[in-house]
Amino acid sequence: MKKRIAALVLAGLVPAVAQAWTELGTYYQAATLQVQLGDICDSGRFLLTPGSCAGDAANPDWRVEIQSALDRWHSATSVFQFTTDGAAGATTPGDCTATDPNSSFFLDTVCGDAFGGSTLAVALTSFFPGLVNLHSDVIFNTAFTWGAYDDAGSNHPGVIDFRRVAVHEFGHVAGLAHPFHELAIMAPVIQDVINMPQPDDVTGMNGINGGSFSRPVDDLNANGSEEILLVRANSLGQVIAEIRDSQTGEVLYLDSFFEAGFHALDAVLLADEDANGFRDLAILALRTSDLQPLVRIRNIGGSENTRKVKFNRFVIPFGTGMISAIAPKFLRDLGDADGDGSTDLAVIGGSLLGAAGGYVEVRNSDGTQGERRLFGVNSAATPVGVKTLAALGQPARLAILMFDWATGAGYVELRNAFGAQQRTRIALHSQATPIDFDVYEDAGDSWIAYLSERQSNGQTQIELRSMTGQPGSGVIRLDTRFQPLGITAQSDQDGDGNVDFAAVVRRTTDNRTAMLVANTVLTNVRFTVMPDGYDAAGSYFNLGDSDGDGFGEVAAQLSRLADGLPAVHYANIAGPQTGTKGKVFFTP
Amino acid sequence: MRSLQAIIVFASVTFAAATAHAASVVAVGTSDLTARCDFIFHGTALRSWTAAGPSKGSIRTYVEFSVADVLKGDRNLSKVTLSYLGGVLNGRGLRVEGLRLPRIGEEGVYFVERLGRSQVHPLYGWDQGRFLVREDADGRKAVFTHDRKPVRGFDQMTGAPGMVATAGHAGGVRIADDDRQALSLAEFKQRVRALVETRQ
Repeated sequence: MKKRIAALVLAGLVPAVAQAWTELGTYYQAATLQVQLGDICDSGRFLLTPGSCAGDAANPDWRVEIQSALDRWHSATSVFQFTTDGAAGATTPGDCTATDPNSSFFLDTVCGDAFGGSTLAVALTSFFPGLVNLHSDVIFNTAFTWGAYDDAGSNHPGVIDFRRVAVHEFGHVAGLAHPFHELAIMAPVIQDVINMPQPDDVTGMNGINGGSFSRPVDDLNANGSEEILLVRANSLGQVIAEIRDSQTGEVLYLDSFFEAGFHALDAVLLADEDANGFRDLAILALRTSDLQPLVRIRNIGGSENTRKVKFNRFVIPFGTGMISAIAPKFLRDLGDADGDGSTDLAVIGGSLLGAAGGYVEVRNSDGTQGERRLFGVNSAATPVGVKTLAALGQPARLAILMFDWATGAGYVELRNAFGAQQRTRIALHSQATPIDFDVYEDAGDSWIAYLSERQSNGQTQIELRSMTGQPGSGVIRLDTRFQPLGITAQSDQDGDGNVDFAAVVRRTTDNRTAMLVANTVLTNVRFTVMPDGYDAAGSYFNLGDSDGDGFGEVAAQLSRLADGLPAVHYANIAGPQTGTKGKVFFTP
Repeated sequence: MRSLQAIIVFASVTFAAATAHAASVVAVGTSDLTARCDFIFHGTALRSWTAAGPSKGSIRTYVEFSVADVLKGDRNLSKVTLSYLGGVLNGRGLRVEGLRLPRIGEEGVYFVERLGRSQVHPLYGWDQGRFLVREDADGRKAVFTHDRKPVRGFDQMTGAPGMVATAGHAGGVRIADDDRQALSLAEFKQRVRALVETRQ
């Protein structure tokens, strides 16, 4: 392969519009969070409880108002619930440790630091990087005057609406970050007209706490095009699985895969495990009531034959409750790697304990014990992506992209699911945070294409590494206005003899999803922008040549901004039409 | 091969926790920025480090800036260090959602509420008091908002009482459609100084 360094800067010119919900990257394992309410009756200029916790019609108890704020979330979705405990003094104001009870209270400092003259409230959430939340406090600044009203703030000069701020802060507690548009209670600027969770907020809440992802699926109806699977939680908490034909949009499967109380994490399409003539769909989920990870398997069509495979459950005391010491994230099909006649399923996740940053657990899909495997993957690092090397002729070998949260850098670890545990660590750029990666074969060697964000200036960059650790052709760097989302490697699409890859990015100037395509020798770079009115919603994958035009496609899960309708758009990565080629809408 | 359970049994329980904050901030205006800040400077972030804060479990990130120009406050300072709540220390982290630390090498104009006092966020109005200095397409040093929008004007205005923001733009900051319309660094400084003098 020709070695060459290339640098590319791309600039976005379209004015800003909107962006759908964004997440903080971690979530609570349980679906209910208990919050203790502190006693603030003796401090602050607080119109809700002036000197008395009892409150009255004119100056209601703030704890009634906080319940009102939480009920606004509860009335919008049941995926995540808050409960309150009014035990005064149960919390330790100013204590920033994660084992303190979740609390909400008024104070004049945060962890010993001054609020400053402009800060109204902060929400603190302790979490394991890239994995789960552990603890939250919401602290309101006693220096402001607080009231409760639903009309415009201009009608109440000098008085802050407590409920509006509380709804926003507890949205953060549930995992929501700030979108870049104003049609959300989680917006960076809270408008007078919005005091309730909006559709975009609810979609985000459901996705973060119940699951939202899409995957490519083999051609089930034999019409020559691949299908697309979308898994998501609805506002009742049910996890819905839907498969549609990528060309016709026809619904091939639509069912409630899990009842309320599960958080869906990943899915794979299996072979016809029960030999009844229908392929099987396996979805990994965490049961929120007891933190049991399990895989549920169902026929795609035909008679119902639901099976489940329980994976390791490891629950430990933490603070006033229990947490799972492992956080499953990915599900992979290893085929029958150990030759016992049953498909092997691998669950890869993070460990919350310091000695093992990640873990891999392998079990038979038919529930038989088989040759079970469970091993840790290094410490002080979190898995952010997994590829099987089946396409490279190594079905039971895993490539795991790890994020070292101590340094902010990443590496890829190659591990065998069975047999000798040969560890190969491939160092990536030491000053870039890894986002996503893919594997490919080129000139008889195995390679990694990875997407990262430079720590120094936030630039998105794409680099190549051979699995022997040798650097590839160089690096592509984008303008800082691009946010990295995902990357896929393709076979040679433009016929120049080089493998192609496609990076999916968000252009922050207008929040449109875009795709950068280049050869592995970093030539023939093309840039395609997805249509306006949609925002990236989490999954990016190869769709193959679904329309049979001779060129592979890259698909992106999107959300229509106007109404939150889920969709998957795909585009050719080469050929005569490199813009959006097709889209599939899913059931609202 | 070591099993995960074996690791868990023999491991010391070193939780690698981090903490995230989210915040609600009052919408401020340019007049508030110039009046309520005791130090306004143009500078560049040089280095950062984390240390334990005063409360149990607290972590702070300190960012040291070189000072190129002082628009308000002590003109003798060539370097300043600002304290932000949050960071990663000894395997434990503390993150403030909505609080974006300046990247090393970032050049900007910063409105510091009270120099030397540890606050959740050192800038008044958080990102509303943070302006980035970048070269525009013509190679001219120009001023942009924290979210990279070109600043076309810095006019006198106070914030709207009761309105809540986390990462918006200060009232009185006018945004241009094109980078070429952004105020030059010199023009921006001139307007800030004029407002500072108006308030004194």
